[in-house]
Amino acid sequence: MMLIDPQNKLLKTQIMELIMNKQKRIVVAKDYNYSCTKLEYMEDGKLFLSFQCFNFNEIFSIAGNYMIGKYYKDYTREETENGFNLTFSFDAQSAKEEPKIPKNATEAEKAEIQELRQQIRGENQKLFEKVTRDFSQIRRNFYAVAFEQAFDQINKGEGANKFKYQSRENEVVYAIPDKDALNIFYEISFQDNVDRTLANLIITEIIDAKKNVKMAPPISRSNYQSSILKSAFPEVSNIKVDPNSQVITMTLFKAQHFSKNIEQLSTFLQGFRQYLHYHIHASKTYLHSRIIKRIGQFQRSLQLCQFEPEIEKKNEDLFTQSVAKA
Amino acid sequence: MQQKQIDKGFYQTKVCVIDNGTGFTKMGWAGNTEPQFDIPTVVADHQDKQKVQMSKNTNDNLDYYIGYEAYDYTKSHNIFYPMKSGIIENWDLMEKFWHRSIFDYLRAEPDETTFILTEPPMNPPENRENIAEIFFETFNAKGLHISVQAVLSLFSSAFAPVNDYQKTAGLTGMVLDSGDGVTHCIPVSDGYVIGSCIKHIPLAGRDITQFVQNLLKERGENIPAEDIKKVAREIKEKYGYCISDGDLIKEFQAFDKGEKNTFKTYYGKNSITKEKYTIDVGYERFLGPEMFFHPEFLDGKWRSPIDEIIDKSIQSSPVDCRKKLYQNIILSGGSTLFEGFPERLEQQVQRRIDSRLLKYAQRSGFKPAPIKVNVSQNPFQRYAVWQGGSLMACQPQFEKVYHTRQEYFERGPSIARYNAVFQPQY
Repeated sequence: MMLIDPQNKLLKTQIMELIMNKQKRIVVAKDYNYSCTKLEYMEDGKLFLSFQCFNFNEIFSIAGNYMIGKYYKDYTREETENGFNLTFSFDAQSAKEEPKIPKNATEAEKAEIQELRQQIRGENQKLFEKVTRDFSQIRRNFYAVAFEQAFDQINKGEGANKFKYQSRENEVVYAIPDKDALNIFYEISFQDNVDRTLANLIITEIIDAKKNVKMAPPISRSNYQSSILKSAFPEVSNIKVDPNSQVITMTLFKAQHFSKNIEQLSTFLQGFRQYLHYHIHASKTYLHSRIIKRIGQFQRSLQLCQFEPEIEKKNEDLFTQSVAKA
Repeated sequence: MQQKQIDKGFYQTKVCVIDNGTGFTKMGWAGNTEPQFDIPTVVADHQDKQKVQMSKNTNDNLDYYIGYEAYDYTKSHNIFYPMKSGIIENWDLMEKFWHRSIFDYLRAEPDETTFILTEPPMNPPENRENIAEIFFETFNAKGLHISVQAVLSLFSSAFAPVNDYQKTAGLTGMVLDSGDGVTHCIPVSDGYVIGSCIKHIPLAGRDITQFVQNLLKERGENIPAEDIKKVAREIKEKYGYCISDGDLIKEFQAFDKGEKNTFKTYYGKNSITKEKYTIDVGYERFLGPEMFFHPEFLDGKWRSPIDEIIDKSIQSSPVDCRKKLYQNIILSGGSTLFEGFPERLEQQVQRRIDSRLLKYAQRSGFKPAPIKVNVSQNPFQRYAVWQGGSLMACQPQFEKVYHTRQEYFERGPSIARYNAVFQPQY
């Protein structure tokens, strides 16, 4: 598994189950960035999705309406549930009902009704799959739309607005659009020493990988002294730099990177920190198992060691040539 | 820049409960009634496999799969079961299993998440230390709590009491935990497992499935070879039941007479050709679960029925808790879900106690007070252990008992040897 799945697997399985079983139930699932999603299936066939995350209001103000227009226009926006920031609902009963085969139907009629039932079943399946996809991707959509909106605007030549948001307690993302490019500054922070070292290694590999990739975006390490960043966000000059964090910058060009598939690119951009985090821990798992094996080898070698028997030292007197035991 | 702080309300506290069993792993976020994932504890890895030309897009160390996905890669990977009889045997694979569970399934950030893991009774303390090392060193978990499965089952039943005895029992009771790999009878007193009185039988769900499979084969049922295991398991789960009075001859006669609701029909589809087929389901319906009361059906080495084992276990426990143990026998695990099982078990255990008390009355001339046996089923019995963990995470005392990363780095992995127990607050 190289990339983080945009869909939350937990929500994906639970949504389908809730719709199919039609039982009143509540499921709460947590996700990255302190986000939390609650699914509630009601007796009247309505499925409610409630979402909340860290710093919701700031991020929503950037492209929240764009997100609702693009991904959730088919759903009803409900009054926000207590403890959450956003609530949508889907009426499972809006799915078409399959016609029943009457008892006195002829064979031809039965065959026709069966075909209609298959067709309706297929349509309903597609509808439920769409709902599952849209609801299970809520976190991805919420964080990715800021980039998607910027890409869209640059592609249309409308001129995108710069934006920034705090994604985690010590991390901020800045995006500075140009006429046909988008400059992104990621501040990434890891508290643990080992995590930081591995993050450095992985980022160095990512930067070096451009030699092997066609049309790779320029990625480099940066800091708050960058002129592009300072000119767009002058307040960064006064930031107290966290020693645990580092700034990575990447520039994406319209012609090479986001003229076509902006969704996949945005999925990666919003999940960059999780991608690093995953691979850091995968590396630690690998290192840990290697270390344990090596320790086992050392212990086995140690067990095979034998101590040399103590030899009594004899001191020879050179003058008298007599031997005295020490 | 003024950094925003995270408001840790109810929805922000992150606790994951992972119940690793020999056959299946149940995991999910605490606060829910059921686990969100119930996947086989299996890893498909290409260790020891001859190296084949791998695509340049894959990384060998990440090229492994867990759960149901693992069975899709049997041709290119080797299948491994890292746990046996509830104990972790292969730590490398188990670490990989946890890695994928945390990041891919649960999507948890371990730095911000507390984990509740379960362990079987009599788990060596060194295993707990290993778990702590993996979770704190590799995953940087925020906190860890390792609980005995039986105690969590009691925790779960304490919140859904089905009779008056359970309401006052708290964390005292006899837990019959029968899963896929092994069956345990575990007496627990005030949250502490009475280790010397634990009894176990290495026969459980997997063996019943194998027994049903053998019966189907012997009868010559037309089942495709690649599906027979799956069919046997589905027949066991869907049609299995326990005879109410234990009279096998009467049950055989009922089947032979063709009384209603005896024989069933199973409708299957070949997993490869998609061809449909039907088979009859007969004696295996009751013979499989009868294993609990006649283990010699499955394995000649085991002759003690489950009611005898429970009785012996309780009789070897301290005398002051025996009555409470009889009054609070709870069932846990998927293999205790057979229809009629609680009633039959209650009846058999009650018979044993009554005959012993009668013998005592005859010898001593003194009539002791009767002891009422209660065998109770939890509505979430299959996931009772997981649910207990989820409920425990919601208790206010939980924040004070779990081990934190800071404690681990100050005192080392030995902190995980002792995990506090507390009574549930309703």
